[in-house]
Amino acid sequence: MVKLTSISRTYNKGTPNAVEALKGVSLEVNEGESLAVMGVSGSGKSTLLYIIGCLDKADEGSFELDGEDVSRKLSDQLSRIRNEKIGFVLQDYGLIPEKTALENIMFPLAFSKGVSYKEMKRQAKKISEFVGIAELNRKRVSRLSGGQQQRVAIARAIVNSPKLILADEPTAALDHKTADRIMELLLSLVNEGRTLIIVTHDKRIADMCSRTVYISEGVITEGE
Amino acid sequence: MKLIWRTLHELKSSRFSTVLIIIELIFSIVCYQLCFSLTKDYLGLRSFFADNYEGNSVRVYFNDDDLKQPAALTESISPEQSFTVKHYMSEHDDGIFISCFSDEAFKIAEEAGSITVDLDADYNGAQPCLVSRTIADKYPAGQEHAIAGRRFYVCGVLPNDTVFYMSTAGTGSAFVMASDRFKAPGAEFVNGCVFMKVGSERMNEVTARLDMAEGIAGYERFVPDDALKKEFAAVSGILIIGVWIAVISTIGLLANNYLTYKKNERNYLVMITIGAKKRDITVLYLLRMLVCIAIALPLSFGASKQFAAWQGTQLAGGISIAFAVGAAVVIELLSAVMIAVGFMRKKSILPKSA
Repeated sequence: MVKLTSISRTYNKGTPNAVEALKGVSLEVNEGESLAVMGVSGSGKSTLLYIIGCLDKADEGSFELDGEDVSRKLSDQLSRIRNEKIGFVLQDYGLIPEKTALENIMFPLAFSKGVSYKEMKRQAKKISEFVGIAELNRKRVSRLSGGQQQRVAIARAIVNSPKLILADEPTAALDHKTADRIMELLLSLVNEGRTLIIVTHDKRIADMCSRTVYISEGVITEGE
Repeated sequence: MKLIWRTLHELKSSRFSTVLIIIELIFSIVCYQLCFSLTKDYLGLRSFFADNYEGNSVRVYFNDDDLKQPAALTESISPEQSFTVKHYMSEHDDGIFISCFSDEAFKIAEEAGSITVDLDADYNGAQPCLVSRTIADKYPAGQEHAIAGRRFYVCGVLPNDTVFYMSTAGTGSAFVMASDRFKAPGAEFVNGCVFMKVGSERMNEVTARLDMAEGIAGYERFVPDDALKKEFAAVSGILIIGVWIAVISTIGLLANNYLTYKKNERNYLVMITIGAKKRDITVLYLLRMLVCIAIALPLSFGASKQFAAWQGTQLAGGISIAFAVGAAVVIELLSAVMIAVGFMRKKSILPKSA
């Protein structure tokens, strides 16, 4: 599903403030696999996630997603890939606070081609039922608890039926019990055949995944 | 349908700033309208007062030589030798004001045998003028003459050879034409006629002479009264305040746009994360601006019209409303486009948690 070969990424390249976030990272993640990426702050794990999520581009190396080389794709093409193949779950949920849960879930479909408004609504309702938040559909997300917001975020991530789900510290702001439920939900998606990559600090969360890699100073040190 | 949905949600997600922008737009348009309208009034009064309005005066009878002999000139003055110009006021290229007389004073001058030039009369587009006796045969009175491409209507012939002056008055000009033997330094000589201008540097001299002439002929001088001075001061004062408010309102408009963008930036980045193109976001942002403008326009039109009616200048008010609306819309669109271009050129699209 994901194949990174010798990926390097340097921020502020050519300036005295240059930061080498990734140094020749190679990584392969298979379809239906759940991978935890662990490392201390500043180790490069978020950069890795953003490159896999087509939000950032590597300076060197190649990146294949679902058998397609995306390292040379244009910005608009990457947007389409993000919309169709990738679902993001962010640490701060990345929801639009003024909107209701259902509107937030509908949002990725608003940028998809060939999906009518009616279909958007139908699909979003279906997904909200699936993640167990149907009763919250009409509530503004700013009024929901952390766990509920994360469920909305997960629902939004999967509403487009992406093959790959990327989660950046999805349980960091949640208590253990809620975190476990969220993980259950994410892993149930893996059981459906989706691929999950989670960036986490939490060993307990990482242990729930089928594989863990450790990253330190821009290099994968373990589990490559 | 989806675009409408997205636009509605864009408006909804920044309700407060959208309402603020609409209010700001209305406020700006009214401010600009007020400023444009006041500027018109100000300029009108400004030209009226000009730099040396204190010297507003009436009448000149002299040539260059005569100016050197004020006593002689004063003695020579009589209604038969002089002429009168009926008009309100004017400003010379050189800065001298020549002006005039109430209808009553004009009538008195006419009855006293003075040659009169009524600048308020219609001369079929020609400039009214007087000629000196020496060239009266060439340019008979009561006729129109073309000289160097300019059309003159000769209102009368001066009964002496002493010449003299020229004035420009408001909507038209009155000239005295004389033969070239009277040509003074700086005078324009065209086809046997001299167009003399009284330079501002001679203003004091002229004023002194006018004072003398006034004493003898009993003519009135136009001096701006206190009410007029007050009006001018009031308009100038309000205009200065108006300009400041308009500047503040422009800054407010720009700041409001930018702050709205900054407030929504996180949402935009989230949208990018879930697959929106930068172009989608830009379109959304610009659409929001257009909706704001569309809502603000009729409201500000109404408000500005009220101002125009209040100021009692319907046509000018209409023009200034058009200017004001144009200016506000241009500022609003320009700032929105600049922000949108800035967003399009933004290199990093990483969400904040990165």
